[in-house]
Amino acid sequence: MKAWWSQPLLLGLFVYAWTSGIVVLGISFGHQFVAPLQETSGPSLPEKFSAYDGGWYKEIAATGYHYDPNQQSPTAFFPLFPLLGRGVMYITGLGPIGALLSVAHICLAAAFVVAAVYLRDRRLPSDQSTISLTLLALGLMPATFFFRMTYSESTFLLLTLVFLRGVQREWSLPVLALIAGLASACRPVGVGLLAPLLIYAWRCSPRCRTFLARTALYAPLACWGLFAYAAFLYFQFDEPLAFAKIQVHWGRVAPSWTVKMLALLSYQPIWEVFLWQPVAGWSVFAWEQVNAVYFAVSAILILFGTWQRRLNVYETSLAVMLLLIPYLTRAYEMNMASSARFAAVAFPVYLIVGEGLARLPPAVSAAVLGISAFFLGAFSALFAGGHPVF
Amino acid sequence: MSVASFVPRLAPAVACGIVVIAGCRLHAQGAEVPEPVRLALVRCADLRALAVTWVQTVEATPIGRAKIAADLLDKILGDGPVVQQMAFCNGRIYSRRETQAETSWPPRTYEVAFDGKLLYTAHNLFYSGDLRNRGPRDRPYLHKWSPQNDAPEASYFPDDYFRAAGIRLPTRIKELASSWHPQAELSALLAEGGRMEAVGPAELEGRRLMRVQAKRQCAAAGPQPSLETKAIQYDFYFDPEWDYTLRRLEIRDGAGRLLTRSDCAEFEQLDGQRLQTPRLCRVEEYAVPRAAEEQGSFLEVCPSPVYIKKIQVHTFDVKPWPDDRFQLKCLAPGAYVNDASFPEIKGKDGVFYQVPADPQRLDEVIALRRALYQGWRSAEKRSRPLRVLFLVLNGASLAGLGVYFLVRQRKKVRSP
Repeated sequence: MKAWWSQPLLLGLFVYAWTSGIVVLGISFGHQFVAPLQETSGPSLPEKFSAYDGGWYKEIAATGYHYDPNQQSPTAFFPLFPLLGRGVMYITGLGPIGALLSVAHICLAAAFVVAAVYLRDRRLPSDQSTISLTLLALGLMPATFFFRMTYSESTFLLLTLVFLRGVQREWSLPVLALIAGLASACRPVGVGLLAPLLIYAWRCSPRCRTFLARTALYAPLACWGLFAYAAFLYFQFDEPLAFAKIQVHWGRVAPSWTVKMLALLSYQPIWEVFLWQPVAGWSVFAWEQVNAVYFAVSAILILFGTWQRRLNVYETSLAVMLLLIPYLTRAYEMNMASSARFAAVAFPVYLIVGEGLARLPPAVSAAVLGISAFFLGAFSALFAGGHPVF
Repeated sequence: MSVASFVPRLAPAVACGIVVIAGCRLHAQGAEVPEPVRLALVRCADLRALAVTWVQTVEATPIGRAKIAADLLDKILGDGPVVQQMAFCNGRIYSRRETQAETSWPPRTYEVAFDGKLLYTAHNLFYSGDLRNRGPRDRPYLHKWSPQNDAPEASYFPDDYFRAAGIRLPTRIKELASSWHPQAELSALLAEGGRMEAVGPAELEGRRLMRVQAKRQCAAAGPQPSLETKAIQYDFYFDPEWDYTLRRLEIRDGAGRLLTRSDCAEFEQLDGQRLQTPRLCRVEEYAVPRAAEEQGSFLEVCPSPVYIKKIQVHTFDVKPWPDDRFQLKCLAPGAYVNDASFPEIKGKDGVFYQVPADPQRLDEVIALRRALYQGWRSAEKRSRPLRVLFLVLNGASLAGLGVYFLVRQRKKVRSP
C-alpha cells in the first residue's frame, strides 16, 4: 500500500492546508497586534484579507465595473476572478469578501493538487522528496501569501498549472488555447501563455505551413478572454483599452519611451529602490525592497534552470513571459511595486527551488523552509496591519 | 417731490446728455468711462474685505440637454444645489463649496484658500484610491503647496457670484502672487488692454440704464496654446438708480454672437460701504462647451441659453476675517495630508502622510515622510552613474553571450 503523501490529491491538499494555516495565523496576529504608523483604526478581520488590490476585486464583485479615465478605476482588474466570486455570492449568499476568499482558496487547493500531479509525471521515476519540497516551496515562499487573499493570483496559478499539465499530457491545441484564453481573462499576463502554446503548436505541426495555419487560428483563441473583456469595455464604456489606459493612475509616468527603455535595460527599477531610504529604515521587512529582490531572484533562478536544462522549453517560455511582461510594462512606472506578487505566479521558479532544496541536506532544507515560513507569516501580519505590503 | 428724490432721477439723463454732447469726440478717439460709472468702479476697488455666502443652482435647458455631451453636462450640473462661500481680506482669499449628493454620504465640502504665502485645498471626503485600498473612507484630505510651484494660469477659486456681479477677484496663480485688490470687471478689462467702444443710454425692462461697450483681444481658447487672438465684446449695463451698479453684463464673440448674459437684481448696500451688491444673479450661457479640459472653447453658439446658473445670496459680511481663517488645517486623526509647503519640495505634490491617532506622533510621521521624500530626490541624482554602469555591463554581457554562441557554432561546424 502506498503512503498517503505519495498520492497527489492528499499531498496537495495537505500542503495547501498547512501552509495556508500559517498565513491565516499571520493575518490574525497582524489584525490583533500590528498597528501601522498612519492608520487610526483598522477594518474587521475578514476585510484584512481584502486590502489594497483585493479591495478592487471586492468592489467589482459587489457592484460591478465603473470607469472614470481621470482616476483609478476597477477596469484595470480583469474579470474572471471577480466573476467567479459573483457566482459564489449568487449560489451561497456569501458577501463579496467571503465569496472571493472561497474562490481564491478553492483555486489554490486545486492548484496544489494539479501541481502534485504535474510533478509526479514530470520526471520518471518520480522523486517523492523533490515533489514534496517543490510543493512546500510553492506554499511557503513569502510572496505566496497573496494566493490566500482576495487576489486573482491563485486562480491564475491554477490555470497555468492546468495548461502545463495539458502540455504534459499532450492535449489537443484547441483545448490548450481555450485554457490560455481563460487565463487571459484572469490577469493581463495571461497572454504570456501564447509563447508555450506556439512552441507546442510548432512541435505538433509537421510542416511550417501547418504551423502558420494553426497559429492564425489558435493564437486569437488563446486571447479570447482578453478580447471578450475588451469587447465588454467597449460596449459598456466605449473604450476597449480601458484596462490599459487606466494604468497611468498607478505609479509614475515615464517621461518618454527612451527614458523608460534605458531604465529597463540598465535594470534601474530593480536597484533604484535601494537608493531610497525606506520609511522604517533598512530592513528585510521593507516590502518595496523585497519586491525588487524577489523578482530578481526569480529571474536568476529561471536563467539558472534554463542553463542547467532543469526546465523544459514550455516551462522556460512560460516563466520568461510571466516575468518579462510585467517588467517591460509596469516595472518602471510602479518602481517594482507588486513585482514579488507577479513573480509568485511563475510556477517554474518553484521547480528550481524544489530541486535545489532536494539536493541540500534535510536539516538545511528544513531550516530554509522554516525561515521562509517565518517571512510568510510575518508579511501576512504586516499586510493585515495595513503596512504597505503590495 | 423732494430734491433728494429728484436728483437720482435726473442723474442718468444728465450723464447721457454729457455722453451725447461729447459723442463725436468719443467715437473718434474711443470712449471714456463716464464719471458716475468711474466712481462706481472706484467704490468696487475700495472694497477691502467681504465674505459672501450664496446658493447656486444650474439648470440645463432642453436645447442644452440635446447639444452638450452627457458627461460634460453631468459635470456642469453637478450634484444639485451648491452652497458656496467666498471671502477675501488683505490679499488673502478663501472659498468653500458644499454639495449634497443623493447618497448616504454626508455633504461634500471643498475648500480652497490662499493665506498670502501658501495655497490650500481641503475635502471632507477622501477616497483613498492612492493607497490602493478601495473602501472609500470619509477621511479629510488637505493639500498645501506654494504658488511658485504651480502653473501661473492655474485657477482654483470658483467665483461665479463675483463674475456675475461684475467684480473681478484674482483667481489665477499669477494674480494671487502679486498684491491685489478686487476690481470692477470693466476696470480689469481696461487694465488688460481692452478699450472702450461706446457709451450710451439703454432701456432694459422699463429701466433707463447706461450702456458701456468695451472690446478686448484675448488668446484663442483651445487644447493647444495659440498665438491667435480673438475679439470679445462686453456690454455693461449700469443702473443709475443704484449708484451705477452693474445690472446686466453681456459677453459676445467677435461675430457679435451672445455667449453669456448675467443679470443682477435685489441690490443691497453693504454695511459701512457705498457699494451696492446684488442678492440675485442669473447667468445664461449660450455657447455649447467643447470639453471640460478646454475651458473657453465651444462647439457652437445657440440663439437661446443652453444652461442657466441661478445665484441667491444668503449673507454678506464686510467684517474682516482674521488671518488664520485663510489657512486650512487638518489635525483630525486619520486625515490625509499632501504637504508641499517644505522648501525642498519642487512641484505641487509633496510629502504625503496620514495624521496619526496620537497627535504627539505627528512630527515623527512628518519627519519620516520628509526623509523618504528627500531619499527619492537624492536617489534620482545618484542613479545616473549607476544607470550608465549597468547599461555598459548589460551590453558587454550580451556581446559576450553572442561571441560565446558564435564560437560554439563554429566549433560544431568544424568538428567532423
